[in-house]
Order: sequence, then C-alpha cells, then structure tokens
Amino acid sequence: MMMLESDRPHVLREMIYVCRPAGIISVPGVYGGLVDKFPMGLAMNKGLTFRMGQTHVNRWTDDLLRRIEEGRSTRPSSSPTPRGSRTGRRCTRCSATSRTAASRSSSSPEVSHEHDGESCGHRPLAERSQGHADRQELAHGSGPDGAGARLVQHRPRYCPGTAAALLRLPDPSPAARISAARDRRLPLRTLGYRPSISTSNAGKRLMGPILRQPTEGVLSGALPRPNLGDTERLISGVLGAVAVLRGLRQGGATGGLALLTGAALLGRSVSGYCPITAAASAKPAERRIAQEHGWPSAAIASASVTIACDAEEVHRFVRDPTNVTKYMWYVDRVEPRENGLLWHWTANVPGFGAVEWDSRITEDRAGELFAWVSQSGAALSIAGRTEFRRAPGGRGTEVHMRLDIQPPGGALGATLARLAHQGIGWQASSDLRRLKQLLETGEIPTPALRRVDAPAVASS
Amino acid sequence: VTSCAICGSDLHLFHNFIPAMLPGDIMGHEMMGEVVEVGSGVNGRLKKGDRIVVPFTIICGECDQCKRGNFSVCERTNRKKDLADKVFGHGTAGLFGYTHLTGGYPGGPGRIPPRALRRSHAHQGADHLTDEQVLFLGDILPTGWQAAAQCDIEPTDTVAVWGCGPVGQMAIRSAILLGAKAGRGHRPPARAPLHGRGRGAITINFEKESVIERLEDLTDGKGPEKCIDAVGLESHVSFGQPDTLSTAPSR
Repeated sequence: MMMLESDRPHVLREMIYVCRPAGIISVPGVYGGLVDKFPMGLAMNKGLTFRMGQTHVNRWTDDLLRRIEEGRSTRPSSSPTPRGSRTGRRCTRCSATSRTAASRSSSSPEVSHEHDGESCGHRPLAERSQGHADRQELAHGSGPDGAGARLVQHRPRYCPGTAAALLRLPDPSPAARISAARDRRLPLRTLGYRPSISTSNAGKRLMGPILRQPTEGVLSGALPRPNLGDTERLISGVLGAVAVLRGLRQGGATGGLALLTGAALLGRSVSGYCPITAAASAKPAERRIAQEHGWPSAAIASASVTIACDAEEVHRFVRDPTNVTKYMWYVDRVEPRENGLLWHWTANVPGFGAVEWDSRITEDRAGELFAWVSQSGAALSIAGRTEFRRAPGGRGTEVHMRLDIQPPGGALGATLARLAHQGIGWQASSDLRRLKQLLETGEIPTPALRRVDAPAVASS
Repeated sequence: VTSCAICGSDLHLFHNFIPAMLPGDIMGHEMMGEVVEVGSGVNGRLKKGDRIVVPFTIICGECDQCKRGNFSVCERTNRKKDLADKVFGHGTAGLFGYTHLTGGYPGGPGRIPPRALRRSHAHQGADHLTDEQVLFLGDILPTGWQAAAQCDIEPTDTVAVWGCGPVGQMAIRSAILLGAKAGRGHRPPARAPLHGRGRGAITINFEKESVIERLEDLTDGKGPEKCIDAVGLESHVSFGQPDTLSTAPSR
C-alpha cells in the first residue's frame, strides 16, 4: 500500500539503521496511523527489540515523586551548608558561585547556568520568561564520576521544562497562589488558572482556541432562532395549558399522552421554536426558485464538482442529449425533437417513480450555461440548470448543477420531497461525479465485477 | 486546576496528524490542581483540599491490564471503546484531551472531568513541593523515564535519544540516572538543533551533521545499544540519512 502514509518515520528508520544489533528501540510516542517502507528486514536481521506505548504513568509516579522529594530535601537552599568541596564555578550570567556544581569538577564552566537559581536570584521562571530556554535545569543527574553508588545522593532536582515555558503562571509564587485558592475555596472552574501567555507565539496560537471554546462556541449557538409568530405562540400556549390540565385530571395512559402533548405545545410556545414547523416550511431558496418557475413549491437538488477540462468541452458534452443517460443513471432515454429544441425524457426519478416529460431549452451559452425547463402540462414540472465557471489556478472547470422539481401533491408532497431531499441531493452529486469520471478518464469505474452488473452498461 | 502544561503530542493533535479529533474537543492532558469536591467511589483516597497531579492516562485500577501494571491499556476507561476496537483492534485506556479513539475526554485547561477523575488514581503531591516541581509527573517525566526504563540500560550501554523536546530531556536525564556510567562511554547523544547539553550528554545537531556517522564514531562503529525515539510522527529527514530503499536487499 503506497501513498497512504500518515506518519513520518524518519527517526524510526534512522534508529533501526544505527542501532547496535540486539539493541533495544524505545518509542515513547507519538504515532497515530500508518508508515510506509518500514525497514523490517533491518530490524529483524539485527535482532532488535521494540518497546513502545503510551506511558503507564502510575507505574512510575510513586518512585519519581519520592525522588523529587528527596532531591528537594538536598537542595542547597534548604540546607545552607554546601556539599562537596569548595571548588564551585561561577555562574556565567552573574557572579554567584555555584554550589551544586561543586561536586562536578570535570564539567566545563561555560556549559550552562549550573548553580541553584535561588542562590543568585536567577530563578528558572525568570529565565524562561526571558527566553533562556537553553539554560533550563531540569533535573540533576549524577556527575561524570558518579556511578550507580552516587545515585542516591544526586536525586534529580526538579524544575519546569520547555513545555511549561509556554505558560507563565499568573501569580509569581505558586505556593502563595495555591494557598490563596485554598482559602477562598473557589469552585474548580475559577480556581485562578487563567494562563497569561507571553513567551511563545506557538503557545498563544495553541491555547487561544482552547480557552475561547467554552464561552464562545457553546453558549451562542445553543438555542435555535425562533420560527413562530406571536399569535401562533399564544394559541400554542393556551392549547398546551389546556391539554396539560386535562391530562392531569384524566390520569392513566390517555391522560399521560395529553400531558406529553400539552408539554410539547407549551415548550413550543415558550421557546418560539418548533422543529416540525422548521421541517415543514419552505427554505428561502426553495421559495425563491418556486417563484422563479411560477410553481407553488419547489424541491431542489444541487451539487458542484471541478472537472479538469475546458468549459467549452464540458458544455458540449452536457448539451448533447445522447450523453445524458451516461451520467444521469435514473434517466432511461432522451430523444431530441423539433431540431433539438425540445427533449423528450423518459426517466425513473427517485421519489417520483417512472415519468415522462418534454423539456424546452431556455438558456444555452457555450462554456457558460445550459438550462432547460419542462413544458407546461407535462406530468412532472422539472427544470435543470448547469453552469460552468473557470476553476482557479488552471484546474479546469467548476460545474454547478441544479435540478428543480415541483413536488406533486401540494404542501404534503413538498414536505415529503423535503424529507427525501437528502436522497435527491445525493443523486445530483453522484451525477456530477460520473460526469467528471467520464470527461477526465473516458470511463466510469464501478465495483461491479461483470459488465452486465454495471448500471452504466445496463442503462446506456 | 492550578497548573497545566502543553505536550508535544498536543501539537501532533493540533496539526491534525492523529485521527478522531472533533470540533469542540478540549485538549490538554498534563495538569495538576486541588480537590474541591469529592464524589462517590473515591474510597477515601482523596479528600477535599488535596493537591493532586493528574496522570494523563485514565485507569480503573481493577481490570486485568491494570493489575498487570499496563495502565495505558486499561480495559475499562475508554468510553469510546467500540471506535478504538475498530481502529486499533483492541481499545486502549482513556486519555484526557486526546481524541475520540481514547475516550474523547475533555482536557485540562477547561476543567477536570469529575467522573473520569473519580476512577483515576491521581497522585497526591507533597505539600512542600511547588507546582513546577511535580507538574510533569502527569505525563512527560514518567514518559521519559519509561522510555529509558524499558531500555534495560546496563552500565556499558550507549543510549541515543532522538529529539530534545521535553520528553527527550526527561529521557536523557532518566537514562543517566538509570545507567550512570557517565565517565566511560555513557553518551546519550541528542538530536535537536535547539537545545544545549544535558549532563554528560553529547548533542548531535541533525541539521548540521550526519547522526548516523557521528553515532558510529562515538561508539567505535558498534552503534548505540539503546535508541529512544522522543520525536514521533512529525519527524524530518536528517542530514545524511540513507535512502530507505537503498538499504533494502535487491531482488
């Protein structure tokens, strides 16, 4: 499987290549999907062991917390007597003598800001906010001469790392902040955590959307816009109240039903929004198009696709009545009549059954527009409109297709058609997908294994 | 929540490399805070006012995997297990703020989901430690530590750590703490253009020199015994990396 790679395994490949045979490859994270060309041969023949996974955090934390605590207890700030010899180095940024560095005599003095920040005022937090990310001290391991036996003495001293450098906490003293929060007994959400992000644009970009999310997104879009008039809300409210009272008095199953109906009516009245009304009433676009055609109501199916062909070529193809059945599979036959000005359609339109109609070409501009509408008196009022626009960047032609149908059966038919709208809309987009396949490749690929199973062959 | 950190994997999520993020998901899984209310099912482990560090893995502590210590594949805390079963074959543990494959739990900056926390064994932070000292117990310190621990480091080992982000830093220091043959050939070379040296570590800038050649040099051509990938899926091709196909035997 090629070209499906979602993750980039460059480091993995390099590790497998360079790792000593019988070595261990450790992958703490993070991969999410597929990688291509994983050098399995190298890994197997070198006898590598792979160990990976999300961290089993709780497996390690007791030990690590103990190490942090012990590291803290040996910090010079809490034990004023420095350990080891007095051969401490000078801080590269101030003149304070490093105390923790004293036991690591072989390191170069210029390596980093080695001493404990508290002894000279160069607190790690201040360093981070000044962008001295490269001078952080995370944890102090044993010195170069410190083998396993010294591990116990050299507990890691723990300071914040790069990740925390993205945030500057609001209060300069974390301990004071926590005790303040504790005194005030603030609820969890307002516990004073409002990071002011100052040191990194990346952090700003990252945290901005997250912090804005709860207030902007959820609240503003929670309630739908009212779609009922005042009179309707009043009537609905009165009827609802009556139904609720009757339901309460009546009791039993009928009473319960009345109660539920009344509650729904009351809710409709109070909120001013009714989902049933919303589903049953015409959308603005539908009203406009019905008006355009002089129909009482209209159902619309529309879709767009970009085809890598000239607009003129697409127009020529769409304009040819013999091509229609090749991409509109529910159309059985199209016969041109009266010198091609009238088309006679025989089709099985989804939701409308087998119908025939005559259509008249209303607009036909090369490379721009092709539109037709059914003759008055036809069994089905239907109109088609295909527009062609040059796609940006020389990508070909944007084809916008729309089918307008006047649903039979008045208002009820219109509602039913609207419910079936998803189906019709899907038809339009699959029509266009087939049109694109035909024009770009000359054929329509199908999952059918035999020619007779392919609808394209069967219908054309 | 009193402190929260941003993880490298948050960036992977943010760059949309990990599947199953939905609009409105709250990220953030490295957090610590204070207990303001105790729900049922805590079994006395936590009480009001406790300072806690929240592990990014949500665990039940009772299932077979938890009993084996494999907490990140807890069998019970992923509430979107059906989805994870389909994608991974078997669902893994729920994680805070980490896509719908791992439960779709909201992350830290907003609030800690009480239900999830109730089951999770949060660690109580010692009171005399500051947030900055213990915050990373939630994710990156144990992650770097596990990366090094699962290498079974022996005193003569050379450990190579790719990536000098937070996890890489933790891994380097963990490796030194665990192996600690610093004077004699313990050299965890790092692979990042940004960061300075860890203690006893040798930095290799992958943009300037060939990581492979340098590592061969440092190990007398033997190669490092233990390799840790602290980069992940958004890695870049480094200087002098051989073409993968050229390393494959030709037919």
